[in-house]
Amino acid sequence: MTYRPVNAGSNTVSNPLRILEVVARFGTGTTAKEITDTLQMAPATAYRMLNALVGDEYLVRTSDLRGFALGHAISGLITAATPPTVPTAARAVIEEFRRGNRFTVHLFMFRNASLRIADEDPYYPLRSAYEMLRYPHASAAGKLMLAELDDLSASLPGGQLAKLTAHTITNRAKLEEQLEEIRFNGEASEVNEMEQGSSSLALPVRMPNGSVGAALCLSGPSERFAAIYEHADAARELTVQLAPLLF
Amino acid sequence: MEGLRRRKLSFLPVFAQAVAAVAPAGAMTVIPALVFPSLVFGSTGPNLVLTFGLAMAIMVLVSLTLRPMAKRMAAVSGLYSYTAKGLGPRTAITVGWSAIFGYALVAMASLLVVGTYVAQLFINLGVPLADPRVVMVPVVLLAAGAACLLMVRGIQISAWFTLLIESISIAVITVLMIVYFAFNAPKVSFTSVFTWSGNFDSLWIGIVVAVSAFVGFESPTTLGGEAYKPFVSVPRAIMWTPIVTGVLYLLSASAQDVALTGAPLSIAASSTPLSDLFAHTSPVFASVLDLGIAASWFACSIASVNALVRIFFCMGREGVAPRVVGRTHPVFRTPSMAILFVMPVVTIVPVVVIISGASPAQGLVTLFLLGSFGYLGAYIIASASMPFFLRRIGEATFGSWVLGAATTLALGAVLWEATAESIRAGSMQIFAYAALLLASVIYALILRLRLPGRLSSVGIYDETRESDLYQGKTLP
Repeated sequence: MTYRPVNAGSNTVSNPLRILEVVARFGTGTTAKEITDTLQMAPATAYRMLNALVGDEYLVRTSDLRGFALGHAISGLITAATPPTVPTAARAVIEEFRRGNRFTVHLFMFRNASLRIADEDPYYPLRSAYEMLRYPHASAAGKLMLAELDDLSASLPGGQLAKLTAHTITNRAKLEEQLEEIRFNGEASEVNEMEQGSSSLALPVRMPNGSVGAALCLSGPSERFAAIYEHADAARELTVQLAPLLF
Repeated sequence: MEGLRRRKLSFLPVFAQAVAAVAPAGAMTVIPALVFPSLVFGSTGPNLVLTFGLAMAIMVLVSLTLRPMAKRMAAVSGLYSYTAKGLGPRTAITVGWSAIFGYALVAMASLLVVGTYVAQLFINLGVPLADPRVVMVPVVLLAAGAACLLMVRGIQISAWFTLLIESISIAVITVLMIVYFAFNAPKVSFTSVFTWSGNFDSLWIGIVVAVSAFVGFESPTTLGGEAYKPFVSVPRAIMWTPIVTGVLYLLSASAQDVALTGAPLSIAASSTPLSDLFAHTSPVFASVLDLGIAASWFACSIASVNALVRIFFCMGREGVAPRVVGRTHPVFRTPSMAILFVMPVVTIVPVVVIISGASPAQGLVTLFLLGSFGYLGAYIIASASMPFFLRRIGEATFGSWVLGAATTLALGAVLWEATAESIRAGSMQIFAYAALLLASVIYALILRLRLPGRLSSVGIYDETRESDLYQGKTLP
């Protein structure tokens, strides 16, 4: 990455991002002077932006107040933007499981209250990837994630829940009820809710602290949902195997 | 800073702390009237609007100067912490003592006003009082006890409570004023609002008294550890409080200028002039007004002591005050020991003033004026330390030196002129404050010689913690 001199007035929206990048690169204790020198920014401008970033806790000051470090508020951006990495060993065990049945098997990871595709089934790619990520209330993996959250507002914007099919749950009270069931049973399912004619079952992959960090998802035609469900025990065994490989 | 509830207070309570410490509802009714008849020295009063306008300009300048520090340091003891970082621990001791003195005197004055106005309330309601002191003393004690309880219980509760009281009081007083002028409109002449009597000497002392209507606006700087997003909420609160309250004062000062100019001398010189004025129109109006004023000053006493104890608490933690005041309440997580130490002192003074039979108005002027000296002293040194603070962390700019110098000079000029005027008039109050300053310097010197280790620990504040940092962990 190269740092070109920045004309402070020309693009004031980008400058705070450049400052964050410098702090991320230089590490804890980066001083205001190092930042202004690197970005060739007017000191007064840089101080104003630094204070705004500190105010919203994207940056924090070190104990002597001279240096800066990345603050906890930045983790939302970094987590949401970084694609999940799945170790080869984990991919291998999922691949083996795929060979053992005729259904679609995907792995989703939860990132900052949203779903990320971690390992997509190469034989049956996701047809509705956009909907999967955007409407968690309509998918099995999404509902498994929602069941983990204390506050649904981060994942489900206020107002009407989108109705993707006639079976999508659009009543918030009913959704809350189902999330309670999911928490109790440790599994989530969806029949015709995302797409007419297709259904899925999601099983939790737990992190060492017990919270759910990923969902292993089996899907297939709705008329064969009972057959999908027969694989639930095997899939659950797989999630136990996957947990230490992923987290 | 261990022991206090960290980063939980939202913006509104932080703002409430500032507003309550300023007590605009109480100040807008009591302080212009104190300036007006120039009770201070009996000379002709200066122009009320000009006095308040200048006081507001100076206070806005102070808040502009404190703001850069509030944006950079989550202070638990306000100006004291800032000065420690800027001009060093010895100077900080003087600022700390000066601020504590200011907060304490304003808290005492507040309790005295509460007593005075509750007694006035009984009089306006037609309750026969042989001696108003029979009511005033228990009221002061009761108010102090209630304040203690609220403060120990937690700043969240006391801040909400004070904000509620203030809002109601301001609304009541504004409505009453409008109604009063609507009733008396034909008799009112606005010429005096814009008349200048040309008396500069009393203008200075008038500004100092008017400044006392603004002091306390900086008190959120003691909530850096407890406030949620302190680097946003604290600077915002100290910036807006003098502006909002200043506008209220200008309106109310013009109104009272008009009202009191036409009023008989007995009212203008009374301890409760506005209430007396209303009593002429309707005793019920006057009673509502009394209640609003008393409530507002009750809130002010809470807010002032809330700020005071946080400085005292910090000093206890650092070891430059008794260690025991550095203890917090195990459940409510408030500086309860400092509160229990301070409140008896703050309560006893107004009680003594009342029992001694001194005029409450004269007592108030003395307490407010002395308190103002305490605040002004703290403001001057803290403002002067701003550019040094910035230089120490490598962020000084040309503008910060200019601003720091301008504010320090403006405050210095006011304090100097007020001191000169008050000495000319034969008042010895200023020497009480001068003695305090001297004592603080000597104390700091002793600390330096005997306990340099403790002095070097001065200036603790809410430092960044592990949990504030980006951990490199992903959010589930």
